[in-house]
Amino acid sequence: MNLKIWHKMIIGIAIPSFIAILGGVLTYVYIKDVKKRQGFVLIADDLKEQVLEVRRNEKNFVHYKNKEHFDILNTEIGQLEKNLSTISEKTINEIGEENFSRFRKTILEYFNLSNALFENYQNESISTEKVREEGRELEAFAVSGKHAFELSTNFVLHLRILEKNYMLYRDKKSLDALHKGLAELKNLIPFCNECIPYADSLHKLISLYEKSGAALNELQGAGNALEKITGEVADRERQKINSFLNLTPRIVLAVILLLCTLGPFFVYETASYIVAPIKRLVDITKKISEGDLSQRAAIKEHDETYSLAMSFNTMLDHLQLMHQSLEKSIELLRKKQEQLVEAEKLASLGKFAVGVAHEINNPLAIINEKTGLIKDVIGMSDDFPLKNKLLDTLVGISDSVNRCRVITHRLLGFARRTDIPVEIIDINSLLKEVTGFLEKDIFYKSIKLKFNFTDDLPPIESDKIQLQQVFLNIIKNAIDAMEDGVIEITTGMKSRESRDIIMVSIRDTGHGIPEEIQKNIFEPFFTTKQKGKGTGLGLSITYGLVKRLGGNISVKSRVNEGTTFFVEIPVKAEAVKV
Amino acid sequence: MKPVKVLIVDDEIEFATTLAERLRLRGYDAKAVYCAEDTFAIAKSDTPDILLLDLRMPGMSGLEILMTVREFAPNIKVILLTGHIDLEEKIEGIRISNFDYLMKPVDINELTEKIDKAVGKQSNVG
Ligand SMILES: Nc1ncnc2c1ncn2[C@@H]1O[C@H](COP(=O)(O)OP(=O)(O)O)[C@@H](O)[C@H]1O
Ligand SMILES: [Mg+2]
Repeated sequence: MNLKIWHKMIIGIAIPSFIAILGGVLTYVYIKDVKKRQGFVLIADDLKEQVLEVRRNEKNFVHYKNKEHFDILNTEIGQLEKNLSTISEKTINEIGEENFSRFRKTILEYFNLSNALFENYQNESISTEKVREEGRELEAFAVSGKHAFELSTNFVLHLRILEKNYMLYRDKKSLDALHKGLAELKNLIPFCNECIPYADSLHKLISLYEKSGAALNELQGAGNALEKITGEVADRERQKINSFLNLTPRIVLAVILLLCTLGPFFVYETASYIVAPIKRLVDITKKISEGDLSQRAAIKEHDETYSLAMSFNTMLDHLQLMHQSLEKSIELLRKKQEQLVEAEKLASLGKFAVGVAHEINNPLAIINEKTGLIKDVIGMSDDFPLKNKLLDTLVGISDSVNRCRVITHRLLGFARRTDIPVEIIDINSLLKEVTGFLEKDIFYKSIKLKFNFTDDLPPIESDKIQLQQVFLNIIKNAIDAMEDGVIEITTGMKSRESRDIIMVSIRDTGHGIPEEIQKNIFEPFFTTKQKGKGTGLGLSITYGLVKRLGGNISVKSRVNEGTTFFVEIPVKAEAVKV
Repeated sequence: MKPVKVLIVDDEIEFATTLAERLRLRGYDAKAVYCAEDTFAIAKSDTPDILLLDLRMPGMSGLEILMTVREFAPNIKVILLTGHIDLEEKIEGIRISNFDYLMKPVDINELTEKIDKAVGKQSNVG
């Protein structure tokens, strides 16, 4: 994640805050809902009250059955409908549109039923009047006595009482009694035509009454339904309120719990998240102070510590580079110093050798001449007993003088020149020349000579005679080291990158140099060769010359496999001044 | 035929006299001198054909002696005798020209060869 520190801080603070706000908002929403639901309950209760009012008027209407009470009932229903229409669409939708449509439908039904009932009641009253009229006539007829004996006045009066009871009570008992009376009256009809209208009107009344009863039942059903709907709605809203009220403390509790647990957690995480990169930097500085400059700050976050880590690393890069170049300079200085010491040693050794050689050379020359003179004189004189023996002895002295001469001449080769005269030398042709000097030896030993030359080598500015000397000594040794075999001379640059130093290697397949004496071969007077054959000066002179030219010489060898000498020569002679 | 006149100039008396004697044994008219003054004296009175000159001598150096001798004996031949030859001396010698050199101790046969060659004779011994 690539976050800035303040982003991280915001996250650390925001998440607990978010939880708290969420809890608050939830609680607020619930409480608001509860308030709303309370409004709904009120509305439902209001409606129920009105419905009850309607029912009360319904009872009055049913009791009085007159137009006045019917009108009152109607106004009440109208009022209910009017109140219903004032309820806003939104409220209706929230409480449940189907409840309202059911309510409205039921009101309409109720209204229609009340109308029907009213109509029935009106018919009833007409019919009642008729029954009373017919009853009175039948009564009068019975009293008149113009009728058959079967129709007694008492029976008619009894019947009229039953009629009145029925009209008053309208219950099953009075109806049953009336039906019984009517049945008896019907039996009298063949004897009394005057009975018919009364019976008919009674029958009609009964049916009307029954119809009214049914209508009333229906009306009451509708009224009950109205009550039920409002009750149901109120109950439901109350239930919702209850469930909300139960939920709210739980939400609050949950929020508090979340805050108590997640809050510290997030704050801790954020803090460590911010501090971690800085801590890492601190660790690195510790390691660096212990000397490990290769340490680098790991760049993980892309916050403000990113640029800190970057500049930190850049600083470290510089520091390391400086450190490295410093170490390099020190190393270079050390090498130069070693070279100087080496050269100094060599120079003083050289001076010493030259001094000794000079001192020895003159007496040697005298010995040489004196011996020669003796040889001359004896050679010219007549034979005498020990002449030949003397001559042989003189030859031995001459040989020894010659051996000394070789040594002194080589030592005098050390003699330091004040300057390196600079010639332009092509190393390949120089090597050809040198091998040319040794042609005879190479030929007699049937040694194969291989040149492995690189063509476009830069010319060397150096002293030709000295360079010749260098390679002459090495190649002479190679020839000495074998009977037959191969000498391979390779030239090239020391490295691909720079064209400053030329590398010449001279490989032979001779007897090799044992590991333990490899360190000695450059020392003056070190030789493994037979007395009279080696002076032990070749490689020491070569070494001195190469060093003086600013070059280097090294050897790799394995016994019975061969030897390779590596000579590095700078293209520009950088004389080590001593 | 007149023998070749050789003058050996060397401060090492033993060396110079012995070498002169050996050369005389080989038929050369050899003399030895040990300092610059004697050299000039002999060179003026009885000019030698060839000078065997030691380069390193106290006082005047071999090259200086050579140059002085050349002033009054321009055609005199020279062989430098030396412990070893320094490069500067070599270059200088070439500049003066007409010189050869030999490293001490010398091989007598080599020396006579060079002398004969210098004075233009095949051989003096014989
Ligand atoms: N190419 C070579 N193979 C075997 N040995 C060698 C070679 N070059 C040098 N050496 C050893 O190094 C010694 C020293 O050599 P150097 O200094 O030239 O003196 P010298 O040749 O007179 O013995 C030799 O005696 C020989 O043992
Ligand atoms: Mg050698």
